[in-house]
Amino acid sequence: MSKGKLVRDYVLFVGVPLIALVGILRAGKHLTAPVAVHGNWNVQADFRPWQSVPCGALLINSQPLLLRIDQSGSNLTLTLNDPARTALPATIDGYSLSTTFSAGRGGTAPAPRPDAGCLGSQSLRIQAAVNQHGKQRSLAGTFSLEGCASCPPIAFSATRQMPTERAQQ
Amino acid sequence: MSPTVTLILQIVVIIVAARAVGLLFRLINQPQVIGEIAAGILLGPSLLGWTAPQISALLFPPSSLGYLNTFSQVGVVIYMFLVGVALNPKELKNAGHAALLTSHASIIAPFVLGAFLALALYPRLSDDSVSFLAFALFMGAAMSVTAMPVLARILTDRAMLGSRLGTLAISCAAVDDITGWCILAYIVALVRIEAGSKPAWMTLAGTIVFVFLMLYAAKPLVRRFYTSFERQGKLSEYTIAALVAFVLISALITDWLGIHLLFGAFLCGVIMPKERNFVLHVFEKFESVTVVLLLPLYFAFTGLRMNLRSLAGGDMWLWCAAIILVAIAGKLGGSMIAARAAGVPWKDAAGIGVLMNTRGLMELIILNIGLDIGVISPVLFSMMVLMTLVTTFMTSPFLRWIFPLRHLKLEMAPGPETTEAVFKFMEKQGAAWGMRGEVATKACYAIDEVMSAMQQLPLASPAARMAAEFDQFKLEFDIDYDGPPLPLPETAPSAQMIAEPLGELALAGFLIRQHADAAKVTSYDGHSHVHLHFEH
Repeated sequence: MSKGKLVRDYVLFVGVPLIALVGILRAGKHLTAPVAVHGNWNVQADFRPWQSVPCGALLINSQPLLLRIDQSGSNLTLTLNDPARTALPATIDGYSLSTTFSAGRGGTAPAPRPDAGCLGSQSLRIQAAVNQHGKQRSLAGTFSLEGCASCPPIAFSATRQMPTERAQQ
Repeated sequence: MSPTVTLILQIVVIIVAARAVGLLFRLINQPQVIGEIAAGILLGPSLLGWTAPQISALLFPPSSLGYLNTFSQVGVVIYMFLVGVALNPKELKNAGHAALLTSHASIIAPFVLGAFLALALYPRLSDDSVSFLAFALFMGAAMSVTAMPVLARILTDRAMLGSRLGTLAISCAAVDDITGWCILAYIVALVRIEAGSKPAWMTLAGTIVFVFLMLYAAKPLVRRFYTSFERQGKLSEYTIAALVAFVLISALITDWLGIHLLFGAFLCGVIMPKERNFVLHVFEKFESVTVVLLLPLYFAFTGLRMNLRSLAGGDMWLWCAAIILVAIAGKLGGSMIAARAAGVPWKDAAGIGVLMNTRGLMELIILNIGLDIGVISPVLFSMMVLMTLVTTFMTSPFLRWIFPLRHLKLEMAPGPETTEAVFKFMEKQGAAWGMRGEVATKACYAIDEVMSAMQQLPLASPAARMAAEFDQFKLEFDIDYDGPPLPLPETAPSAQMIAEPLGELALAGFLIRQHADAAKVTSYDGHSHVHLHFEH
């Protein structure tokens, strides 16, 4: 392989793609990704109005309530305290977060243990807005039990624990 | 269960599963390591957690995963040290222009395509805690990885390691590894600096000083490991303890600097003495416990983090398919076209492309780092692990497709006319298969010796069954007969021994060993099998 051909091929196979890479990186600067909400959140809420229903009793006994959010783009999975027992699919649209779970539509059934007896025909819904103060983010929203006429929505706020690397979460 | 009992139970289950699935993969001509990776995924939420959630929760409770992670990370630290030890910079110097062009193109082509795909994936599968720059660079780096250890294993299995193609592939993979790890170090530093966990100047200046110290201060010092090995013929336990401590301290320093534990271990391996016997001894000391015990734990930990069920919906699977296609097009296509431009024939260039597309364990390590530092999301992690499996799995069948094995069987009775029959057979098949003349001649002489030696054996049946197998890199002969095994002495029998009964048999056995590049005889229940291997 002559030196001239090597230089020509090198420019073609390495130089040109490098220029393309610079172009891609510049083009991507303007892209925006969904708001990051993954991590562990400490939830403050008063679940006493739900104490007559099994889910309310469970949530009252679970204080302090820890909400864990796994995020892949705008798709989220929310778990409350015990990941094995609660997993709620959710989405984030702009700064607004809402669960997409419904007992009738399937998904991972929360609190499947018979002793808890939580939910049954009801479905837990979480709606929240993400607030940003510098690098700190917080959630403010409501828990509601759909299918329970006597259960008013419970307002909550949540603060995110210091973001850590995913391996340590 | 106590944490210790849980951990031990996990280790037992993981090792048994890794060995069992690895064995199954070997049966379908795949490297054991791919089976072990698959076993890890099967133990995770993709299969065990889905089909038997109670057993999964019992075996792998979330609270126990920290121990498993720590254990497996130690394994990967040692493994990366071994990868560095196996890397010989001299091989890169001797590789020539073809390797230079092919290796650089094989990095940049998948890198650019990966970054291009990031334009579509970033708004869909990432979040604003990661900058597009870090995300795109990571996607590029993850697409451009080649698993040098798995590649070396595949080349050895197919007797291609010493061939021009094998040498070129290994050289390119070595360049890819070094470049890939440098890019990844930059990405890890970038993400951690963006997160504010370490000042940029400290990471940058610290890394430069550390690499400089390793190359110019530590490298002459680690020659003492070789001096000790040369003096004693082995590494003493004290020396091994010092070596392990050196690797771990180096790993801790790079982690503290804000790059990653693994870079320190890898760099330690790179600066180790490269004398062949020393390298083999280090592998002998570290490889078994790492490969058999610790790496399967890493695969299982990876499998526990991967969830194929998280790819919900057709669009997710379409993105997954796009990732796999881009990875193959960039790495296989890029390497193949660059190798062809460098003057490598099309067939060999395609072989280079397929080999460079092998990602294996190195990719898993990079993906786990990406997930740890939050630069990729769990769903993207699952997609990329699937891509790793597909691209690594396809190597062996694609190689067989490009360089097909040709088989032929014949039956003959040992006798004077056999030699002529063997020569005719080799003449005809050698021409049909495109065999090199000297390989055909060596094979003729070796088989002739086998046939004449068999005449001196008390055979239960006079017929011998011979099967020949040939591809671009090797010629294999398997000869089966009913009788006692042929002796294959490694040293030439003396004149006195030849004069004794069965002396000529020993001489024939010695000559067989001389003609063939490798010869082996096995015997069971009155049936014997001679295997002859010739490098092509």
